[in-house]
Amino acid sequence: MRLLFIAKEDLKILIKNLKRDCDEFISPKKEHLDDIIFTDTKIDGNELLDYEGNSVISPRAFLLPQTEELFKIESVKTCEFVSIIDKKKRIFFGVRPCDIKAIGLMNKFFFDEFIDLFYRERLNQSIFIVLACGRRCATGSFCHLMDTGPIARDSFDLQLIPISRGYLVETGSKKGRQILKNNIRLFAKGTTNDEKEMKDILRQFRKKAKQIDFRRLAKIIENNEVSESIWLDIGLRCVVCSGCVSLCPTCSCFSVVDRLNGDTGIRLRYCDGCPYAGFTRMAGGNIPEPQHKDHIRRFFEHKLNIDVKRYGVSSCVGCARCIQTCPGNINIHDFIRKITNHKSQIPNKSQIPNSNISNKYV
Amino acid sequence: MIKRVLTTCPYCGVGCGFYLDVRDNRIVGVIPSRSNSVSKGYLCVKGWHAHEPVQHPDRLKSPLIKEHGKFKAVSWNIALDYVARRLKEIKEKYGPDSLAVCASARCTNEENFLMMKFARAVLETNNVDHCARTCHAATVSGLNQSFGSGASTNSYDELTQMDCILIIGSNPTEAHPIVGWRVRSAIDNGAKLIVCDPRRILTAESAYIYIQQYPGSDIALINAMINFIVNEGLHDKQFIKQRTEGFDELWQVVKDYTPESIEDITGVKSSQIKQAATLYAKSKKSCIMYSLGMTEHTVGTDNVIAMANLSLVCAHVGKEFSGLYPMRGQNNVQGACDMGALPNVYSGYQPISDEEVRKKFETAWKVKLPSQVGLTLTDMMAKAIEGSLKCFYIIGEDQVRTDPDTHMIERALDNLEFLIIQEIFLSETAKKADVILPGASFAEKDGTFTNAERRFQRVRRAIEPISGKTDGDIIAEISKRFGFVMESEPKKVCDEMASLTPIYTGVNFDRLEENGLQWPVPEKDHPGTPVVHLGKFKRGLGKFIPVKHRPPAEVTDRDYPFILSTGRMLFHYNTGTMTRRVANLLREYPHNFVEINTADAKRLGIKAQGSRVKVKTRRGELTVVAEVSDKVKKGVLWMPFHFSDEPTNVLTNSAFDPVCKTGEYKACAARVERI
Amino acid sequence: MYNEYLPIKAVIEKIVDESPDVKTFTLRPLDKNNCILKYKPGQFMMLSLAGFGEAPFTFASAPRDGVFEISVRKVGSLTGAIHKLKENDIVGIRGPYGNTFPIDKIKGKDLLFVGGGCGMAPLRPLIQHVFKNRKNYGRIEIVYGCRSPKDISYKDEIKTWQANSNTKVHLTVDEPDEDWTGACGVVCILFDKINLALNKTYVFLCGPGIMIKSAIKDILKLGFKENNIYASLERYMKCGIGKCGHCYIKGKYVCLDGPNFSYTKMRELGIDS
Repeated sequence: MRLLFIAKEDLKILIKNLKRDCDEFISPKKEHLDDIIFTDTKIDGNELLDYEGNSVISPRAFLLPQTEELFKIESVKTCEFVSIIDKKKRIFFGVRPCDIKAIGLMNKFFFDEFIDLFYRERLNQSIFIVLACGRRCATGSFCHLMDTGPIARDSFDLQLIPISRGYLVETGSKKGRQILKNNIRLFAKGTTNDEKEMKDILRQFRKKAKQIDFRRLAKIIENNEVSESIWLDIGLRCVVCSGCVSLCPTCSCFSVVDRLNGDTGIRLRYCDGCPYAGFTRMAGGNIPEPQHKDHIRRFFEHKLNIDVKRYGVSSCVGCARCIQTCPGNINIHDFIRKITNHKSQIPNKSQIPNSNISNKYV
Repeated sequence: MIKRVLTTCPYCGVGCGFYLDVRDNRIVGVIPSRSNSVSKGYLCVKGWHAHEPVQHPDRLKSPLIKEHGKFKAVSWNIALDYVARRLKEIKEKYGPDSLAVCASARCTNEENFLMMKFARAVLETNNVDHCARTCHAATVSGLNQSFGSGASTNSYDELTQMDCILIIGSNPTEAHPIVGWRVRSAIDNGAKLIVCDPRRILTAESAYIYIQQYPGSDIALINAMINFIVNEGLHDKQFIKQRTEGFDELWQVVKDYTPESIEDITGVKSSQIKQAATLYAKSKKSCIMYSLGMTEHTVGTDNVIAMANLSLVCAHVGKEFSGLYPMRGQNNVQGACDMGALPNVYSGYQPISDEEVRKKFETAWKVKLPSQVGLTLTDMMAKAIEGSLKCFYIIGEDQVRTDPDTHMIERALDNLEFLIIQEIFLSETAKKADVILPGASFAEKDGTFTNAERRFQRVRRAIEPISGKTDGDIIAEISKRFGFVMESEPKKVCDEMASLTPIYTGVNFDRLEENGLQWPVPEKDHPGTPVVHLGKFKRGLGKFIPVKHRPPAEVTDRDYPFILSTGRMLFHYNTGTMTRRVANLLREYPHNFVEINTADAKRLGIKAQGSRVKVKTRRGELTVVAEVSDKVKKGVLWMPFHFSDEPTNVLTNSAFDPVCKTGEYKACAARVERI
Repeated sequence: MYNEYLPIKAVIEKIVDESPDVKTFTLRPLDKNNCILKYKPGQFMMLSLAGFGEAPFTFASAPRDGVFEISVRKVGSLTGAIHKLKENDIVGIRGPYGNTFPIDKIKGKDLLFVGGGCGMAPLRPLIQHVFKNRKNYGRIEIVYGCRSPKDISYKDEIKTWQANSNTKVHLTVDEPDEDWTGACGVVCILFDKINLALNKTYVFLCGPGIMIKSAIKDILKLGFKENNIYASLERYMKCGIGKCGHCYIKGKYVCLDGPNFSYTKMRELGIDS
């Protein structure tokens, strides 16, 4: 099937039309200096149609915010809880392929066995428009190794693939096809030249990049073949900032806390995760895995082994957000390369902002 | 409605930048700013949760007046009228110097400027000080004598390029984690670390040399390093000749401090000292990072001078990739000093004793200003007990929990006629107040903070003040009731401050927009000063000042055989009024504890991790959980001070440094009992 | 639109002081048709106290007409607050969650229950169920260890268990008082008194992690079959439905895949030693 085409000027019209049907139009926006961050641009219209790299936060920050109100506690005495359901209709524009892959994985997790209503309601109200990457972003990401970029395979409603004269368009769901149908005048058929250009981009992207063999990677971890010194080093580096689990697009662990004001209050859910000792500490004070290095090990093992077993793919999507925010310079990309002896081109230091990321285990 | 407000972290002195994620007027999270030149997209666990306390239901929302021992909520008008009336009464009855003001290292520069202006121009007293007294006053007094400027000599970004970092009495990965990140990067880039700390802190694990000296033996340690360096001819003779003075006087004292001679005092092998001295001296790019482990001693000023001597001997100061990094503990403790919230100087360290300076401020403010140097915080407490200080106006400080010897502080505050507390939560100190004025948190105000590398950075309002007023508004409104009208709009206050302060002349909100400015900024378009003392020290020549080892004010004996040291930990901040209201931080460390060496624990029959023990000093006692490990050496105890329900400072000693009046938190005699 | 996280109301019908730090609460859900009452032995529920949060508690009684019991040991702020509750107070509950003991498999078999301290509570629903249908099972022995005699819960009920035919209850305490005439020491010291058919016995354990580990070791030494040993595990939890991540062990969630694990499974998860 030939892909459709939309010109940049028509995309602007499409966005204008889409904004009419949503409460929040979440798209990347340039904040201070070079900071690019997903935010609501429905009113100010400052969304970026093309941008380098990725947003500091992933769309997860909207589906599973750092803190969210779950219940209004109307009476402590009589235990009166009222659900707070976010009914806002959101269109996510400019989502990167790595992040949409992450959303696909999160959906599987949150709809498995028990359904998380708060997450589901948000998801059901959301439309995801992916903006494929023209080239590898210069922030040390490694989607090409994790098979998550530069073009998304699934989980999107609409995908835009930038080419020189505009964008190729792919639909991925009923919601996406509906958008197409409602705005059919804005789209044209893509030409063979367009598709050739897209394929060239893809070829360029994958040049010299050999995808990680997830099964092999998982097996190395499963069989405890990772040298203990690597875990020890990681344990010494981690200063429990919680940045990795706050920014990771597939981290989903949370805690719940009540905030009272007299006899009323709210029950909050907030981002939590494995780096904390208190995350698994039981009421009596016992921690099942008392050593700090094993807390971080869990982060690595979950993404690179457990989820491979569960979903067939790694839940590290290669976005590099955890690398960019780690005050201990822990680098999951280096870790993967090291333990698989993966010979691939790595971004050189000058491409990485704060280029002091060298590592003991490289 | 989604709003992203770029602001500066309210915790330690590093000054990280992040966005507050505001949705429908609730702050739901924090987003690191990669473009911020201080934090570059990194944050520590406190920063990642900085939003949580802001809209906590425990926030003080309306002014409270104490009636018959109980607080009653009143309107702003009633509270402010009452405060102004009482202040006037006391001023008239006992004179201006019966009043004192404690500004806040937690508030903005603009608010500190207003506070010192209020004290001097309205109350007509120089009795204004703040918590720098209990942390880095020694840095100001020490470095001022040696170099002529009392702040960090160099910038954070140089750290990653160092060859050798000497970290002494500072715990970067816990107390200043994003500087800790730079230390980590330096190691990864090949730098060698010398860590000198009575506790085996995290950086010690990655150190090239780890020295575990006894608390209170730092001068001996540093003098021995200088001794060895000079004896080995590793000192920079040319630098000493060209850029310093007083080397001979220094040598007269230091020549006796051979590494062998101080082994007993420090508990450190001479071979280690020699190794460390050689590494520091021989490395091309060496710097010293220190913090309260050096300053919170009765010899705090001398400790700082000793380090300055060491850096001068090796020419590791006064150039790029060198220097002294005093790691400041609070978001704006640098700024509060800079703004003149000190009893002896106006903003920019302009002495009140300088008539010309005073005249300048008198002309600008159109009042007559007091010329006599005011009381330090330490002296204020003493005068309160004595009875000559009658009224204290404290903003954002919790002396009952932060100052050494709690019982003494309580006596002082109880003895006052009138106590005004401006706070965001009901702290232990606030409970003693006659009036509580609810202040605003960092997320509710505009202004600037100055970090430990002297960088002015913007603080921006994300939500409206919960109590209806910012701290600046409150000060201005009290002032108005005295008939003195103050401009309280932060941008204009900043302009006023810059116009009156030569070293901040080029500071204004517009210029700070991008990535702040590092002072001195002596001209309107000056680009700021990342490295101070380049080519020439502020005082001209760097001065060697000989200092001698003196033991702590209280040494161990048969009854109190342990040295008790105190400090800060990663998950909490000061008295925990904020961090203990963050669910994950509280969960990580919900209770106070005492670190004790395995051998000592065994000897005392303290069985396992987690058993409760009683820690006693001559001033008080506390029952806490014992953390048994080899983190501290035999004979040493360590406790954090963040737990206001188990307050460590009932134990600490209020003996203070004679120059800067900083209390000795880091060493006192204690004993431990099994229960 | 069913919200799994929404607590339903239950009224405290009765409170029994079991020991100085354990109380047993009888709870009656106000909605008597709620699925929580369809729980099976071994499962748990989440109890909410507004302001103090939520925590998991295993059902401590076999299902019966519209009420169930939980036993709560005072260890933290939430359990401390629960201990302060009075009869007729209202709490939030939701569940049932987790797996059940293999009730079908154990018909006709000998049974050994090993409980330590508060760990008797999760075993109690199964014990009650078994005694209610006594003829369906072979010999039953119960080993129960506590810190001191006053820490023994369900004292009166234990007497009724002992009264059953072909049944033996062994008690032991770490710190005996003057009146104590029974055994002293950890539960393992009682194992040589056990008289059960090695091949057809199912073993159920619950208690502190350290007790479970050493008890299983000794039970295996006696020759009981690895695959017939089940332990009920305790983990920190916030959701009970496999989302919050706290109780995760190597890809499994104690709240979904547990809390009851066969020893074989425990070994796979690396929680046997």
